[in-house]
Amino acid sequence: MSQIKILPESVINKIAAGEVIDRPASVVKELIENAIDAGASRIDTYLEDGGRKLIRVSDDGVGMDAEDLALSFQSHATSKLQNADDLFAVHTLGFRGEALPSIGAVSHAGIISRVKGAMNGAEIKIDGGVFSKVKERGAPEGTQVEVRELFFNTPVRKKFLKSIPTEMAYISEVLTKFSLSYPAIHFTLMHNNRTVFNLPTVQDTAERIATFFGEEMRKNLISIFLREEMFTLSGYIAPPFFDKSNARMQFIFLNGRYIKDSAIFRAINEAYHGKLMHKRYPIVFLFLQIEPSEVDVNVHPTKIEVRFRNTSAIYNYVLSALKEGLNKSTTKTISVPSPLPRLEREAARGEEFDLIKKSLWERFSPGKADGENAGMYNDIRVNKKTEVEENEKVFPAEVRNKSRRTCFQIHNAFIIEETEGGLNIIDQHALHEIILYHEIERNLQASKSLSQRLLIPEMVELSPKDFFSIISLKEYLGTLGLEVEEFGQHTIVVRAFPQILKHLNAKEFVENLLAELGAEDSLKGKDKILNRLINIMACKGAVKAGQRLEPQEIEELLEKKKSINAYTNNCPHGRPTTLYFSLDDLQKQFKRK
Amino acid sequence: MNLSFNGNELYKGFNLVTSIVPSSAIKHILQGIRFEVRDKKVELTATDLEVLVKYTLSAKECVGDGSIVLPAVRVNNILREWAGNEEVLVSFDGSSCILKSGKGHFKIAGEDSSQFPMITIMDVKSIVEVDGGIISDMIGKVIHAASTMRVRSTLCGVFVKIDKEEIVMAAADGNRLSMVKRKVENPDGVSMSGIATVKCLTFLQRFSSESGGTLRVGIGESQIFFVGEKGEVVSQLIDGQYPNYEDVIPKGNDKKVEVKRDELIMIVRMASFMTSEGYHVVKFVFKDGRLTLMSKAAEVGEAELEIDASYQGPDFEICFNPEYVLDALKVSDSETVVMELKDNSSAALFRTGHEQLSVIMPIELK
Repeated sequence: MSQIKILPESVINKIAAGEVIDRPASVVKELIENAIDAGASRIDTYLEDGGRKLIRVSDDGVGMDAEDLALSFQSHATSKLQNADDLFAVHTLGFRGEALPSIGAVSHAGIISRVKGAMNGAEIKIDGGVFSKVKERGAPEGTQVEVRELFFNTPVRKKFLKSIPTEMAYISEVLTKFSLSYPAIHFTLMHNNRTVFNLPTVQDTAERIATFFGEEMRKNLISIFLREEMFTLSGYIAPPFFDKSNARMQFIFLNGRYIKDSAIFRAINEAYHGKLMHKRYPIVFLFLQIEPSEVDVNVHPTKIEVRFRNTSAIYNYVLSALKEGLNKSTTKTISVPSPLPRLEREAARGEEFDLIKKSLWERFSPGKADGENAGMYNDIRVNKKTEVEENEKVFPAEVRNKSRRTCFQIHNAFIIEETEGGLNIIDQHALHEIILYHEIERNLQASKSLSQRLLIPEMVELSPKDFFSIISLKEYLGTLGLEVEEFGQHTIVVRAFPQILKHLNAKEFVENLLAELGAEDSLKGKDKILNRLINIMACKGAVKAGQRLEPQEIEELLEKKKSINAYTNNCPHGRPTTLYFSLDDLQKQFKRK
Repeated sequence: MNLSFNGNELYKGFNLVTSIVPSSAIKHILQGIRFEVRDKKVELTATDLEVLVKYTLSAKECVGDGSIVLPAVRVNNILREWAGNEEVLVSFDGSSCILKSGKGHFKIAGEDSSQFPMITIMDVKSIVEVDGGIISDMIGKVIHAASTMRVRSTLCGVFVKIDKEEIVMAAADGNRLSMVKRKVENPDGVSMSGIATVKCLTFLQRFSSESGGTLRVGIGESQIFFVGEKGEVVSQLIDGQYPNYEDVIPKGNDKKVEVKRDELIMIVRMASFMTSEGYHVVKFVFKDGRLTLMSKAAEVGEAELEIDASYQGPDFEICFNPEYVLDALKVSDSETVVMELKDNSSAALFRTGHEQLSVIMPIELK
């Protein structure tokens, strides 16, 4: 007797369901995708017991007539594809015709739908894969899908479901993603008769971001935009000080669909490289529009992974858009065209930090409506402004500018700087390092690096491995002004040295270079090596902790921080350079407020 | 014992030796000055364990023998105030010192002088006599070129060599060298050399201007000393082999350009106004009897300055760090300087006076 049997359809659908439907959140995702594809402008989701007992998604989309309904729970029945060619130009979120049958196979489900403008609606039910006749009935325009007792017939899967709060967390995440991607759709989510969110239509994603992640995040968002042929990237990125310990706050949407893509992640990391500490991740909201023919979304049933036709182009687009955005953010705060730039800048910075603190409080003070908070916040700002204005009246601008603010060094490592709204504690090494980093980078961009020839060429003896690493980098080192040559078996001779490192010894520099490069970077592209070299040059060229600075040197360093016109909040290794304490903060600490 | 000094004399001597006292020292006693009276001779001694200086004061009156270590800065401050006084009286026993002048009176705690470390001249076999003024002048002509980088210790000093009828001083960091030669009388045909510290030589300049006259110079294995009429300076030498400076001086650079020193100083200085830190470079362009200096720095601006130069060869460009050129020119007392050049990546020779030269390595723009 033959061992191999064709599986009955109900089993096939259960297996397929295993791929697509693994928890209530995936049901919600599939149903909302259908609703969006149906052109809904409002999508309501109702859940009971974390979606285990009931999931109901209703939309006001185009709806289905009785004929469509009869087919809807059939496998591979879809309105979204006509033929195989369409598969490579998918304009809709769904297309496989797998979701509804999969859901129907593992639950008691039903659809009620009425086509826009039709007289009557229709209803179909399916119980564990067995479906009923389509019945006519009255219904609102649009479609409502109900899924009860999910996994009632697959006890193993059911056992794997987590607690209600956990399942709710997954579902909220799904809704968060959709609502970020579709600001024009009104989303609601209710759980056991309580509203979890109600997100009316908004103009801009930023407003949704504010709702989910707080007003202070929205205030600081940097908007990015890049348009190329067949590719548009828009969205928002947060400045590096909003970092996270994981990459979960990196939202990437491709043609409206939330995706994960390693090339884009790499581009994000590269753009923020040097601005974040090790193991910290930036927050980004990226919306990519790509010609559907340029991307294959049919890689995985959940469509979370995609394949780009030209991955490296995507990488480069994303990288350049983010870099530009990050640069924009720094110039924004620095070049404020005003007669008192320094004052204003510092006042602005003060507000920024106030904001972060405030939002923390907001988070812990329940029951405050958004509007109220916004009002309070405005009041505070107004007060601040009038204070500054009053000061301006008392001290004419020139007098205040002339009177230098206090700055001094402590423990030969940190600089304390008095600012308008409080004080900065600065790590002298980290700050000097990032300043040098920018200087070197700029010099290199001007494509002329100064190479000071040595009076007496310096010999550096190396291990064979190091010797070859250095020799293989010879050309790059040359563009930085470090001229090395082979000299005998394992010895190199340094003939010229970058001027910016004039107080360094060649041997020391070469050894450091080898240590920093390690094995990993040795062949990964010129830019990256140059970048590492600049890092090292900046690090080695910078004043060290423990080095005494003269008052003029401190002044100069602070002056440069202001004039460098680039990002200086982190050193190239990502450590912060400056800690800011507002006067407000101090007054609170001393219980004066 | 009791001593009497002219206020100014006492202050000058004390202030001179105070300058060698280390500002912070692990050994507390090093922050003091040893004050010794023996056989009517008053001698001050200070050391940082690297350089030791002895200076003889002339007292108006001197009764008794003894010694004490006095806190250098405190006593120096007092003596500075009394520098205009006709008479300052000093008396001390083993543990404290009394200073009196006019209507003032100080009693100062001192330390036991036997604890004070003394460096003795150990291994010097022969000496040569050189005029103090000449030594001082030579130091001034090269010391700017000494390296300030700790890791290259031999270059952190000044190479001093006495051989045949010549005394040579050379100093260099990684990028430039300055050298000066002078005649000396060397009847015994003494040949000696060593690397003196910058601190020792800087002090020696002050010392010889106070002390005046001839210095007897000796260089041993590990020490160099200078003995004058009023005292002596003994210093540890920097250990190690000084690079052969003769090899570094380029020979046969075919492009020779003579310019007026003052004019060149001025345009180099002015060109350096348009450089920035991390971008310190001035381009020298030689063309048809003219030398044009150009500088340009991002976010700063640019400059172009021109002087006459005796150059007739093909057009030629070379870049230098203006600081190096200025350092070399500033210590020249000649009216003209001669630049001897080869190409834009080879060592340039600046002849800045009689037996005085600087080698400056160019900068290349990559």
